[in-house]
Order: sequence, then structure tokens, then C-alpha cells
Amino acid sequence: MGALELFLPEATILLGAIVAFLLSVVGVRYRITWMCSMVMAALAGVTTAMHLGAHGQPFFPGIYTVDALSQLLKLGIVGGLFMTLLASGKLGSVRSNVRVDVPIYLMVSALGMMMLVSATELLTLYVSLELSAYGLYILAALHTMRRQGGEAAAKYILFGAASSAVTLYGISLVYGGTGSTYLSAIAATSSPLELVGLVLALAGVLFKLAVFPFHAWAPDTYEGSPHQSATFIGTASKVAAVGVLARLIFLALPNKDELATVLLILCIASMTVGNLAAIVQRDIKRLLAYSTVAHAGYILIGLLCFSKLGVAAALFYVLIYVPIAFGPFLVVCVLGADGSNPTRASLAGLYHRSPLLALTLMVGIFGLAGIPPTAGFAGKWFLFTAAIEGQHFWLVVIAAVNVTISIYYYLSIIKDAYLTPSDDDSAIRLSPASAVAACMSIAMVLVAGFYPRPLWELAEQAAKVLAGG
Amino acid sequence: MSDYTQLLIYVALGVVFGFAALVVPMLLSPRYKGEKTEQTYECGVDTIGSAWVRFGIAFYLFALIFVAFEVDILYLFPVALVFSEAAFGWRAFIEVAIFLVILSLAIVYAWRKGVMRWTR
Repeated sequence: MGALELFLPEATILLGAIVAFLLSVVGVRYRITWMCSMVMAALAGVTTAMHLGAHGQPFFPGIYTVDALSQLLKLGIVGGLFMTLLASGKLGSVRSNVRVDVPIYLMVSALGMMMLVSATELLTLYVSLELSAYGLYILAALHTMRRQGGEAAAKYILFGAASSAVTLYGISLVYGGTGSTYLSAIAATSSPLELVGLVLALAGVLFKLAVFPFHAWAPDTYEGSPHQSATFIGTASKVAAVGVLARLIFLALPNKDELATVLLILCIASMTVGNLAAIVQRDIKRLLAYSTVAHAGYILIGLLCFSKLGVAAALFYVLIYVPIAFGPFLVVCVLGADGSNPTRASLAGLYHRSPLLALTLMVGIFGLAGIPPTAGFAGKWFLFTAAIEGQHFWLVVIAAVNVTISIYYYLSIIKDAYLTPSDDDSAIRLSPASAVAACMSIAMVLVAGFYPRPLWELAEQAAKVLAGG
Repeated sequence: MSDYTQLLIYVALGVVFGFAALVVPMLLSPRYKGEKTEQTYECGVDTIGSAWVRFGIAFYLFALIFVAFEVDILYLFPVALVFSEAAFGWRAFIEVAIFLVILSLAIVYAWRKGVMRWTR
């Protein structure tokens, strides 16, 4: 296959970003830019799906690899982008003079993420990481409330810059220890210096994934950034982070016990801190932020097993996490269309005001909690199976306790939406795009829950790239 | 275990080097304190007036756009050096042109969004 054909999904998104840019410069209405961006994102989705089985190296050898792992994750990223765009019809929480620019930043950031999961050379990886981050930094700063938006963006960019610095230092140590920045060459050698460098280099990725010691930005950034930005940060960027995390940790395969211990501590801390902190939140976006921290912990369970089963489980989990987490975020986008942040109290009576929205919320929350007919249950099942097979019995016990804690606050959200009566019984009118997004999210979560096999097989094939067999 | 000893030595050397870079100049460097030491900018031109003057915020945006121009020029110097050589064909010219167009988009964007309008 030719270089361009392998690069087609990224090229489509790049073209979409350029189109959105030109439309913004020409000065057309936001609605037109929005529709063009959705068409481009849908096209990118189709090309990605067509290139699921592609493999090869489109550019300089060894730097940029297209394989089963990268293609599957690109599908998740483009899916997250498309669904975020669907929810972006009315950008009530974004300042009116910059609304037309939102699709540009979404697309550029998605391009960076897609390059990130394909990068197999440390500097390419770092540049892609920054490309995906810059778009998100800007997106976080566009809230109508300038003060809060500024706080959100400042916290995000300062934490991001600090973790980038640690990542770069780690990369320099890896280069010092191995004499190469190519992942294939690094994987062939092993030294303690390389291991220390890798652990430091993971900082940038763990920051994106909001794993425990790098999670402090998440609640404030989610709270103060526009709803659609938070949606994108909370779904698509996690997919990219898990992909690159999987690639990086498998470099340390000879020293896997040491790295597994580090990841084990981060994993337990993330789950516990995320779930305990989420209980007391009143703002839905803050609650979702802490729930993201907890879910980053669950995903680490799969990765620290260092087995094919474990990686496949982590990939499966993060891919279904996109439609699952999208449900509650969509509810936030619709309820907060006037720019305000929905709280637990503003969910009251949601069932009477908009049954479809309430159902989206319920399916999404059930997915996050891991209640059976949803894909969240299948995902947790695979993760815990992998952990038991990897002899991490106590980890599963801790994770199960955490899931139980999380069910408390997840179910109280459902209670607010379905059982708490409200004075305001005015019906919420869903725009067609939001209704489509809601149905897509419900359908994906339920289908992947009832019939997880096709996605699981794709995840297994992707895991083979790293874990062999 | 010897591998980890190496790492320990590396870390120890790193700490020692960090302190050495502070301690050695402290011991060796000449001490001098004069009129210019206290100035805001100790080198270059003499400071005129106070730093607490008010100026238009528009200058700040213009400075940012200037950076976009300047980056163009910085990358054009190496191109200018080889421009007359035979190996510099149409392909290279088009590549440079694409590069310039992408960089110029920053200026086009700022222009269209009204940064060039002088409002005070």
C-alpha cells in the first residue's frame, strides 16, 4: 500500500482541519462550519474503518507505524471526535466570537492523537503528544465565564507543561541508556537507566489519562472548560493515552516486574482516590472528572498484567469507554446549553422533561458502574479475568470494592434523574443532532454489552502487536 | 544488582554535579558590585525611565504576529543559501512555498479576526 493510503484517515482529519480553518477565516456562520466538520469527521471514520487491517510504515522506516493497534485506536479517536461534534450544535458555554474556531481545535487535536497512537519513535511521539495537547489547552480556555475558563486553562497548561518537562527528561535518559529513540531498538535492550527513563517518560501520558498523582488538573479543568471541550478531553484523549501507554510500557518487558509494581501502586491509588472524591461532588462535570480518574485506574489493571489478555482488555475497555462516558457528557451539554454547569440538583425530574436524555444518562451511568447488560460490564469482566490470570488476585478484590463504592454515587445520579420530583416540568427539546448522538451512544453501549465478541477480537488482534502470540 | 549500582552512581554524580555548579563559581568568581549591578537589565543599553509606564495592549498582539513573520524569515536563510544551486529544483521550491503558505495562515487568521485594527 502506498504511503498516502496508509495515512488516509489522518489526511482526512488534516483536510477537515484546513477546511474548518478556511471557513473560519472566510467568516461563514458557525452552523456551516459545524456541518462541514461533521462531514469530514464522518469521512475520516469511514476511511479509518476501511483501513482497520492496514499495516505498514508510510514515512521514514521505524518512525511511524500503521498496525492493528494504531488503527483500532484511531477508530475510537475519530468516533469520539464525531460524537463530540454531534453534541456541538449549540455551543452555549463557548464565547460567541470564538465559536467558529472550535471545530479547528477539535480536529487538530484529534490529528495529534491519531499520530500519537502510530508514533514508534520517541521524538515523533513527543511532538504528537504536544500537537494533541495544544488544541485541548485552547479548547479549555473558551468558556463564557472568563474567570473560570482562565483558571481551567491555566491549571491544564501548567500541569501539562510540567509533565511534558518530566517526559522529555525521561526520554533523554532512555536515549542515554540505549543510544536510540526508536521503540524497536529500545525494546531490544534493557538497563536500569532505561527503566528509570521510561517511568519518567510515562508522566506525560499518565497526565493525559489523569492517573492519580497527575490527576489534580482534571476536576478544575472539566468544571471550568466548555462542556464540549470537557467531552472531548474526557473521551477521545483517553483512547490516545492508553494506546501510547501500552506501547511505552511494553518497552520494559525484561524489567516488567519492577514496572508492574509502579503501575500497581498508581492503579490502586487512582481507583480509590477517584471513587472516594467523586462521592462528595455536586457538580456533574467534577463528578465525571473524578470518575475518569477511577476509570484510568481500572484500565491500568489490564496494562500491568503485561499479557496479551491484559492489553486486549485495556484496549476493549477504553474503546467502549468513549460511548459510555459520552452519554453523561451529552446530558451535561444539553442541560448546560445556556453556559451554566449542571449540578446534581438540576438533574431532578429529567425523566419527565426528556425521557430520551434520561435514558442516555442511565445507560451511560450503568456502563460506568459496570452493570450487566451494558458494555461496561463486559469491559470490567475482561479486565478482572486478565488480572486473575496474571496472579493479581488482591488487585481484583480492591477493584471490586472500588466498583461497589462507585455504584453508590452512580446510582444516586440515576435517582436524581428518575425519582426526585422537580418544580420545573418544562420539556427539554433535543436538537436532531443531539438526539442522534444520544441514540448512537445508547446503541453502542448496549450492542457492545450484549455482543462484545467482534470488538473483543479486534482488541485481541491489536494486543498481538505488543504481546505476541 | 551491579546494574543498579551503576544507576546509583549516576544519580550520586548528578547530585554532586548540581552542587558543584553552584559551589565552584562561588569560590572562584570575582566579586564586584557597581552602579550597573542594581539595574533591571544589567547588560546592553542604559534603561530610560520607569518600567511602570502604560502602553497599548495592541502592541502585545502585534509582537505575537511579528513572531510569525520572523519564523518565516529564520527558515528562509538556509533556503536562500542553496537557492542558486542546480540541485534546487521545482520540487524543493514547491515544498518551501507550501511551508510559507502554512506559516502565512497565522497572519491571515490574525488579519481576518481583526487583530490589525488599531483599537485603544
